[in-house]
Amino acid sequence: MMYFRSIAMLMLFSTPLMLPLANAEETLQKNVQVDRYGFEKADQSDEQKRLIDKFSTEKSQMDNAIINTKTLIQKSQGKNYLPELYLRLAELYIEKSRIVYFLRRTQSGASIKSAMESLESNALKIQAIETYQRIINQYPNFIDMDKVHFYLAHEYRELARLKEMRAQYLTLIKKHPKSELVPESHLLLSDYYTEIKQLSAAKKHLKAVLKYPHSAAIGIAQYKLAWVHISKKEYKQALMLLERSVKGPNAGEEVDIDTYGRVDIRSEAFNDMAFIYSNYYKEASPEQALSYFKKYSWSRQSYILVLEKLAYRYIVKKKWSHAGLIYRKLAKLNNQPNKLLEYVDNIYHTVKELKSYQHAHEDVTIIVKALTGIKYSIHVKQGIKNKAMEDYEIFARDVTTRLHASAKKTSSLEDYSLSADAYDIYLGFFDDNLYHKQMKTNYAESLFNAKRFPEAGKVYEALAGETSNDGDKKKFLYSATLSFYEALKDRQTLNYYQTVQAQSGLAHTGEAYVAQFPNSKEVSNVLFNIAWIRYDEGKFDEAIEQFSRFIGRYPEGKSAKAAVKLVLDAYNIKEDYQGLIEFSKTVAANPHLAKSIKAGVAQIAASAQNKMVSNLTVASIDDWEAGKERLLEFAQKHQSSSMGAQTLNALFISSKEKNDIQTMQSTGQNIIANYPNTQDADSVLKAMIEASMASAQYRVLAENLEVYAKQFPKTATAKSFLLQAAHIRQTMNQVEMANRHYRTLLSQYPLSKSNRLAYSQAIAHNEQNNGNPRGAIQALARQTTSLDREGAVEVNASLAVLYQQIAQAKRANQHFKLAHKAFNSGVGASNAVIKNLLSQQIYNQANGSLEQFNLTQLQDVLDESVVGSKTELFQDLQTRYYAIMDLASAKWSLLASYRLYEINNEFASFLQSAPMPELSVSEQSQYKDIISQKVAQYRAEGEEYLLAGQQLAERLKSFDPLMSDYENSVAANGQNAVPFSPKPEGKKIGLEAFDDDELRTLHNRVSHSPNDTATLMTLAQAYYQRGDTGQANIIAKSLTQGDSQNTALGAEANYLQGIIAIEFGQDQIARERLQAALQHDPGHEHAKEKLAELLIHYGYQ
Amino acid sequence: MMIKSSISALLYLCVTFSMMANASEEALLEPLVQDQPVFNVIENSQVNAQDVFNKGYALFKENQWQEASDQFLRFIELTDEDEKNFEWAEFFMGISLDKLGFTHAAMDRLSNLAARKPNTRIVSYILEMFEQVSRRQPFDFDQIILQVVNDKDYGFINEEISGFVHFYQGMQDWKTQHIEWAKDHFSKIPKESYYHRRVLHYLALNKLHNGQEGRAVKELNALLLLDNLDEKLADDTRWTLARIYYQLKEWSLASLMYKQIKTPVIEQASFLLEQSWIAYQKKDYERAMGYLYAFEAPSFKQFFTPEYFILKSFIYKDVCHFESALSISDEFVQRYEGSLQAIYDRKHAADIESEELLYVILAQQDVKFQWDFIQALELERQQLDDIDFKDLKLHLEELYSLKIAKTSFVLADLIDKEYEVRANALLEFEEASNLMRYEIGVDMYQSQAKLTYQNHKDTTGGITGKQPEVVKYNFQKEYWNDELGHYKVTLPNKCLEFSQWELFFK
Repeated sequence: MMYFRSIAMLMLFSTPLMLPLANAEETLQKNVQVDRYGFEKADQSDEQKRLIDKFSTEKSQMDNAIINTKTLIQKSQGKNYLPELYLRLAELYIEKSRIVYFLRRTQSGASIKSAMESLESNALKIQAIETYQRIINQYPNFIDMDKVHFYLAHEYRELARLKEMRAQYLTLIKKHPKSELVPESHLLLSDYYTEIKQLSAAKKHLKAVLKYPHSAAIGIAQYKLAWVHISKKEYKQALMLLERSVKGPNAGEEVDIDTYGRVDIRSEAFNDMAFIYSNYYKEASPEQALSYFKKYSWSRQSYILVLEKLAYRYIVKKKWSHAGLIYRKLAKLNNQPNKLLEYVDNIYHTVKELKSYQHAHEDVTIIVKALTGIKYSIHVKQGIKNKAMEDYEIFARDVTTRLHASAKKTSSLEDYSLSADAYDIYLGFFDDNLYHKQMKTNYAESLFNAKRFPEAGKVYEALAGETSNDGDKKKFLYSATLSFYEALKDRQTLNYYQTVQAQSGLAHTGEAYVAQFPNSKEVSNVLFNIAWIRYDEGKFDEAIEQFSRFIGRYPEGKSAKAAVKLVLDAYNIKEDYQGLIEFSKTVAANPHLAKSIKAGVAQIAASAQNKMVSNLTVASIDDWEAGKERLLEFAQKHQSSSMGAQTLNALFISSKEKNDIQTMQSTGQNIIANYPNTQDADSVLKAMIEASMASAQYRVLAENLEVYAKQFPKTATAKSFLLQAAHIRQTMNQVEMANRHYRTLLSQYPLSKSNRLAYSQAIAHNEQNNGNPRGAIQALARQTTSLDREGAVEVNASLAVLYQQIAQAKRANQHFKLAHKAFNSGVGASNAVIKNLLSQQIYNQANGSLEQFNLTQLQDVLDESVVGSKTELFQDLQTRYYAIMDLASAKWSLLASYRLYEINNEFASFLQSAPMPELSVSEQSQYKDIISQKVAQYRAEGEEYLLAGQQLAERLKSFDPLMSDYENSVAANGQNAVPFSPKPEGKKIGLEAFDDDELRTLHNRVSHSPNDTATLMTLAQAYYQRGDTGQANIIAKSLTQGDSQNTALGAEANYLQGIIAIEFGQDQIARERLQAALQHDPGHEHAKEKLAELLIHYGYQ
Repeated sequence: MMIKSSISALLYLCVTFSMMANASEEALLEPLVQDQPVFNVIENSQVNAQDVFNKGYALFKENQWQEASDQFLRFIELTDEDEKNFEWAEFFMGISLDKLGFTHAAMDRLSNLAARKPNTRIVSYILEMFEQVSRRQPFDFDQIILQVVNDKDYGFINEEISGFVHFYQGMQDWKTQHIEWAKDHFSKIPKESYYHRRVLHYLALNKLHNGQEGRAVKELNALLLLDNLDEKLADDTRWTLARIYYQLKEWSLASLMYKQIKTPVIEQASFLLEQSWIAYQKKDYERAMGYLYAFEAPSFKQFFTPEYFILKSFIYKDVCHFESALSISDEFVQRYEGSLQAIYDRKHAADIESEELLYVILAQQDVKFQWDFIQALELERQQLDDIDFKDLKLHLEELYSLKIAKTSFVLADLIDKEYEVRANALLEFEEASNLMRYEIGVDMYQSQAKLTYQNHKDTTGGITGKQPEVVKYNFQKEYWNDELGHYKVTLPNKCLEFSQWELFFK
């Protein structure tokens, strides 16, 4: 090339010569259309003509140039630039030689060269040679003699006169050792010796080139020298030289050396390194090879080229794994579809040889990459496309399935995963062919075995959707379900999306499986998992519903147990304890479920109940009103269940804590009414009793006491409570109820004899007050045998009175005798009641004698028998009344006094009015005196009795009807006196009190401050105002008990009791209370007024 | 509306493409386009191919692009690569198609030609066209860049094109970890060229990825100082710098960088959120909220991300607008309810139920590139009705169908992958939203507890707004470029007020 460059330089010096050439080009342009893209349009003949014209013109120009040069030479003889002109002339011959050659070739138009075509050209070369020789011969000191030798050598080579050529190069080297053409000359000599197979000589000249490190020839020399080493199998040396060509100082520089043209020696050397490397580094791994060539590559393109060579070398050397790996690397570097297919072909070859498929995924990726470029290209014929698709599909399928088979042998997760990846790529591209289904099935299987469960599930599901074969569908659906299930078992490895996919997938495929294959043995398993997934998703309602259905359908086995557990857990998480409890009932009702499950569920249900109630209770702490309503509502909702009882109990306790007496009482009642057997009933009732007592709700208290006694009749407390209830009832004038309690006490409890007597007497008393002496008799008669002696006396005495009252004198007498006899023997000698009763009975018994005594009257005749009878009766009566007085019963003593007064007067009157006996006058006078004395004596005695009686009556201030006779000096007529102002039974306000704002407030206040007597008083008055006199009475009574210093309050309390006693018809008590009121407050006008009215009613003035 | 119709079109396309794919597979069994039928062979045998070329070239010279294309196509189909002028026929056909507006058909033809390494003049011209197209619109990156531009060393091309070639070759080498080769390519890019600046930008980014923030900032700032810097590249650089400053907590510098971005308003959407984050970090809550209001504009729908809700919650929470903060969770659910349900129902990206999420996916860079490319192909395909020549029309129809099918194949894969990523992120956001709700609840409680014991003297301090309205300038469903980020939102700090708290603690 340097040679032609010299010619160009020469031409630059010859501008005038070139002008005609430029003009010729211009002319030519007119005939050739060159568009803006550089396209020259000409037909073949035109083109040939154009070229002929072109070359002819050039030849003509060359001729002119040669003539001109010759002319100048002739004119320049002796000039020092003459050799320069000869040199130019020689070069013009050479140029003309080239033009002539092309002209002849173009003119002939033949494809085969002929000797004739070269004849003129060679003649011109010879002329050039002669010209060069002339310079050598005539101008030995020509400054550019090295060039002359070099050009001359070139022309000798062109004319195949190689020995002469060699001589010129050798001369140049010898005579011009410092010429820059020396390295090239050595190089060209080495080519000569190589040609004639004198490698040693060739090697010598090549080595000589290496002495010129800055020469452009050095690269080629190294390269060639390397090949010399290669031919001798000296790979190490060869490789070193090639490496130097590639990475040396001049590497990559454009080399323009004669005969070589523009050779890219670096590329050539690099490619050859591939050949040598495989020979020298025999043990190198493919990775080492890649690394090595990467180091020497200067671009991706160079790397690709060398690797292609290297890979091919390995193929030739049957180093399959090396080749395979490098082709795979190439596939990553190159994107040309055709190249990729070429690589694929080779890879397939290596794979088949190696029978190793672990790179199948990579290989299929390459195939798809290559085929994608082809499939979607408009430039590839359809037939070719089809062929490629068919061929490479086979390859892809083959390596993929073989990898899968290999994975099955190793059972390695990694292998399965690689296999799955390969299938994935395959199916992504070959999405609809004959093998699609089978490949997809394999894909799913690989994924599953690689434990890539979410993906496996999706693929199995897709397969199920694609098949119409029932057996396959069943298998795929089940596999999908199983895959999703497995995925979720290890959810830590899943991201959010995968988790959702698996959850939803499991549910979807499971449901489809169950729907389509309901009789499959796997259905239970699937159903369980569907439900489980709902649980897992947090869709607890659905989970519960599905698990419940599962339990119903498959109650036996471990799954049922797990299902039950999960249902319970779901309810727990939801805090739906109600649901949990309902569920526990269904579990309990299921006969097929194991007992242990049921027991466990029951225990959890109980715990749930606790939680429910606790939650409600806790909620009620902040908002009691709403909270208690919820508790109550909840209890009602769960009536008759243990939870209902538990809730009520919680409500009860809370209300107690909150001091909400109304709620407490109503809840307590609710508990006792609906859950009488609950273990809390005892404490509940006690608490209710306590609360009602504390809040002064005596009617409620009585009720509670009664309920307790009824509920727990066997307890000692019950006895005590019942007695208290009786007392309260008694106080509230509910005597029937009081009696009922006394009777219960008498009949159902072991009692002391004194209590037995007391209760009997109380009953009898109440019966008496109600005008039912028979009832009283009945009460007492039963007890006669169960009393101590004194009690027996008392009862007999009472019975005597009562029988007497009902006119059963005989029985009365019997009992009296018994009583009296015992009394007389000292039994009950100090017992006022006995005395009273005996007195009463004696008094009553005396009534007959008294009547007879009064009726025994003399007529006109003094009848001794009548007198005697009268006297006898008088004495009898006296005896009786004295006996009464001896018994010292105030009331009966008073009455006996009166009777003594009466009978004395009567007897005095009897004597006074008695006819005179037939006596003398004196005797009559004497008789009269005696009678008068007697009469006066009797009357005086009577007066004494009357006075004593009056004094006693004054002390007693009794409103006893019998005594009223005495008070009024009215004869006893045995009829009851009309009470002052009794009223029918009043209202009975129990818990309703809490509906009354005032009462509720007062009760609450009392409850908080039990010693707040003022409030108690107000409360009593409030009850009184509302007509509940019983309640008012007992509260008022509570205020008058003890040592109250509050006179005003004491007055009020007593007054209230007084007026209530009036209403109860208990005038005696009324009087006492009114008097007590006045004692506390003498200025209590109401008490005074009422007492006055009362006294007036009873005749007091 | 344009976007909406595009989405619908995409959904339609996904179906169409799958049908096409099936049709294409069927074609494997019975080729739709068979080799030339016999009567054509006879007919064609009587035709002089060069005459056809000459006719085509004549038409080409007369700017009769359609007619010329038809003739060149005929020539190409009649002959093969060895035929004289074959390269030129392909080349002229490519030019003609480009002139007709079928840019991608032209690029396809020219890529096919360039891959065969034709004469240098042709290659130079083709590369020049590639360079222009690559800067102008989406294109077949695989075919043009990977298969042609990256295929070999082009030592003969002019400087600007050399920059283009070396840039993509260097980028490809860099991406494939061949750093030295990449650097070699980059070093060969002319210093004043656009691609040299892109390289500078890319290398600065690379430093950033390697944790050399300082170096990256320095280089990016230096890049911005260069004359005649491409506007888009300048904006990209500012954006990158803004993000780095954000990471470095240099809020003011970050903010300044954002302000300098000149990209048109719609494209600003993606960094509105970032600006809002900056304002938030600077505790300029009102401005942060202003950006978010702007971000809500319907035109930004495709840039919308669930992150918006999280940030909004943060802002409300920080100024103790707890009720509003809590409502954000509902807003989130409302917006993505359909998408979330679609995920729970295992819908695919192409299902209509996933529409909202699809908007987000389509905004992702790779997906957007492919999606834009499909749209461009579709637009060009619609112009086929204007082709009067049956063979040419059939050829182009097939070309576009294949190209759309291929791009759809790639796009579908990208969308599927991105869908999984986005769906996962959405689910994660859903959980974050729930946690945020919890956090807000905790904050509410703690704030109230704190205030309960706090000296009431402070109650007026720290309140930044006095107006009762939340938005001073209500969003009017329209916006102006200079308004974005400047919506004046008053967001009084309520952290020192607790009278309203009873509302929450009922």
